[in-house]
Amino acid sequence: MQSFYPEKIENLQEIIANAVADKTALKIEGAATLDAVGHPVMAQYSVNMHKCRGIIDYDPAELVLVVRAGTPLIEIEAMLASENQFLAFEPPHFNKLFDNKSTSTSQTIGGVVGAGLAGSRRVSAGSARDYLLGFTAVSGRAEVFKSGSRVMKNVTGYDLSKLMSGSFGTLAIMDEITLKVLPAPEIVNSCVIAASDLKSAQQIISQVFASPVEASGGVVLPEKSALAVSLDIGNHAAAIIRIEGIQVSVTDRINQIKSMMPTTQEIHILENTESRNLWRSVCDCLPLADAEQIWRISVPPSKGPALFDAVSRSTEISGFLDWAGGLVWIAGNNKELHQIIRSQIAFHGGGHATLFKADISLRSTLSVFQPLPAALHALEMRVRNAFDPCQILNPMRTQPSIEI
Amino acid sequence: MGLPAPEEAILSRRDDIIAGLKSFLPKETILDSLTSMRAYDADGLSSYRQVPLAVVLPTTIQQVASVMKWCKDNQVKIVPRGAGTSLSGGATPLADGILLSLAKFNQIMDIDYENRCVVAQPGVTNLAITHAVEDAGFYYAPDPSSQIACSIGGNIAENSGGVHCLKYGLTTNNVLAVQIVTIEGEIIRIGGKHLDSGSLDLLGVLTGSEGLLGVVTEVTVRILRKPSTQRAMLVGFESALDAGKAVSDVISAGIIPAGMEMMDNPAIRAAEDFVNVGYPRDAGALLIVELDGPKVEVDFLLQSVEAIMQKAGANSVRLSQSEQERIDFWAGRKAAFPAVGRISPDYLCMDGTIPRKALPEMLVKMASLSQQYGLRVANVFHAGDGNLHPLILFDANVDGDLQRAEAFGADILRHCVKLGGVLTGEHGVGIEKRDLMGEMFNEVDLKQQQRLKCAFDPQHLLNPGKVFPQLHRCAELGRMHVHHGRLPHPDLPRF
Repeated sequence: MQSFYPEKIENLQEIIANAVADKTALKIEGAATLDAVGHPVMAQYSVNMHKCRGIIDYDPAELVLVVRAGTPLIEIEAMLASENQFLAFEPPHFNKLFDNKSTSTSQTIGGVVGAGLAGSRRVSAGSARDYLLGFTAVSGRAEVFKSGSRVMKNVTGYDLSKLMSGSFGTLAIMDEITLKVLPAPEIVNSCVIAASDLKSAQQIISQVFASPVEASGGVVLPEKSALAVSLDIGNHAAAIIRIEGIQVSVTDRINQIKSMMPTTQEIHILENTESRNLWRSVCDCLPLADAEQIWRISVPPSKGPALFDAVSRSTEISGFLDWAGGLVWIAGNNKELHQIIRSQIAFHGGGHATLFKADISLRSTLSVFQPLPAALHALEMRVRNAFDPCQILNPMRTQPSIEI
Repeated sequence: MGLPAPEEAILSRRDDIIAGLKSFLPKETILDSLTSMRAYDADGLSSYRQVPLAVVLPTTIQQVASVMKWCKDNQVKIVPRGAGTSLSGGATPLADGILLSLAKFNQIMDIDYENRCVVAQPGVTNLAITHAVEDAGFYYAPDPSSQIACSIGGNIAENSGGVHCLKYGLTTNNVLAVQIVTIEGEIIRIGGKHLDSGSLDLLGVLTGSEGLLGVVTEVTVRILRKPSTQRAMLVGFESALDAGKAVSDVISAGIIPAGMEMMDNPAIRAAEDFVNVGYPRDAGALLIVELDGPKVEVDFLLQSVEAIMQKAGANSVRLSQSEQERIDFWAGRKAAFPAVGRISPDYLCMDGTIPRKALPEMLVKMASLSQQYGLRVANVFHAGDGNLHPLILFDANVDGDLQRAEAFGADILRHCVKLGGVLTGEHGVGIEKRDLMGEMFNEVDLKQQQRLKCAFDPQHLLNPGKVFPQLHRCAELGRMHVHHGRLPHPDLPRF
């Protein structure tokens, strides 16, 4: 495949204009880490955003960062860390999960935002969508347009940032990206509480999230997934709760959690580095790093354990529950896994499942993203058409199917 | 500013239109007498009044769907309305359109503590959601000043904010799902009790779409556990410049207060005279800083904040010693608009946002504009996130005063954009800021936004005359203009 390496937004515009004129599809990539997420893109040419990189403006006191889409995530994270700030949506680093040998470099911020990713802090702080304040992009009509701004409170015009985040480059190619950043927590500790099954582990997390403790993450690890990240919990499951902030507050809140539990309940505390490493592994889905077929499922938090258990009764799976129970990661080999999972989602009150990692044949034959009801599907297709009427950008990559 | 000229062809069909609606709606859901419609002739932007063609108050979602479909088939415009508290004219009626009020959808459908969310009908007030869950220790975070009256459906339409946005976000960060009725009369559910969409984030773009894309008939919002401690600090400064510097210092120290509000001297005096809670009347600027969380954290951070304030040159610092005192600290700020209403026959409330560091320059500009227009201005300011609410004082009975106040307001907003800010932080564009959209967006930007509108409402029947200064036909917007062979960079390969 021939690749273009635009340096300026004008180059990007020209490439898209030519593609529109010649009715040729373009594959859009940053570091290509998430290349294997979505339906395979049939395109003769790719647009690589690596040269559209650099920090345009970073003002720590304003909590605002303006970068170009091709800027590596690790570079941004290091710069923010030097000012004790961070991306609060905790973008996962999926290099290891996809073991992407073609890329030695970090994911780009454009890829992270375009995929709408978020780590364990999604449940308390939000996702990439909640931190994308504005952008400049080139649409599939080859027009340069902008939306949003560089201030954090803005309702002027439609909030197109929300559409861009999670659209996987199918609406427009972002160049300039403006993000809200926040002060990073000083201390990050965790409580590890062993439980007899997933449901009771999730209920412990639910109890903490319904208290004023302000946990910033809650994950349920079945024994096998815990061992995969070197955590020996000595029981069938563990609830892990992250408490972060200033020292006095973290200590106080961990004591509050202790007081909520029965006195016989043992609570193991992970401190700073150990705790941070664990959450890094959870966010990056490392407990399933060796799996071939991985599903990423969002359901109401209380339904997570029941869904996981129901699927595991049908076929052998491994996995874990993040987002206080609401994000279920499932890995397995069964070719019918998609049917089992999606019928269980419908049974458990709705949600969505994405085939997050799989070989190309499975991604070519299955509906990678959750099928949509007909009316919503038609609406979404009209929205897509408003940005990329000729289907030039990453065609078919996120194409939803219609719910039967 | 103003509404589009009504279509004579529609006005002349008024009797037929009302008869048509009555043919499928219960009689009591339609108001068509001038007297009964008067109550609906304006929203919170009350200098603009217009009696609609008819007011429809459906009681079921099926009725909403039927009204939408009937209006589409008969080319009748629709202005949706929640509680009618919009400050930008989002619900200002049209003479040639029906006003669709969601006021009768006032039930809370489901409270789910396990998943920490509430499902409500759109006419439920913002505060009623908190009231429904506060016994269990929960609350709904976005708190616009109108929260006692404004509806949750209207909050979705406007992406409403409040004084606690800095830490807890706007409506868009706190909503999980909506059910909407499209102009086709289709009922579509977007989202659920789970997080995120498995596809495009249409929920995100519907939030803040000002009633131009669909009518919200059900809302699911996240609720949060109330913090165990909330304390506020009242800090007086010599000048707004000093106070602004102190705000930046707090954030630079890595502290994100739950709220950080500023008032200038005219606003302080008006508020103090109104509620009498001990604001320092002579201060050039007043900050209200609220911290929440565990008691030890709040106490610790209050000390840090106090040290920052002293260092920044604070003249007075008071810490709330009781819950009543904390509420009193807020009482003046929350009553700032009515308080200003007492010192001036009329006022216009503006809503720009600027980067915080541009505050000194903005204040200088505002003072000079105040002189130029000969109108006083009082400022309340969500200082933490840069959202300004200048209140321009005028007298509508003085010939030309309203026009001067509007011109003054427009100049303030233009300057906000010039300083890197925006036209509206939380009140919406509506009709009020519609004609200023070109200050912030170019023609290509605006056309792209309108293409999104076309995906939902290709005939511009939903709330026309709001947000966009000029409406383009969707067929025109959809056309592609690609010119073969125009290649400024011939080194780039062709396909």
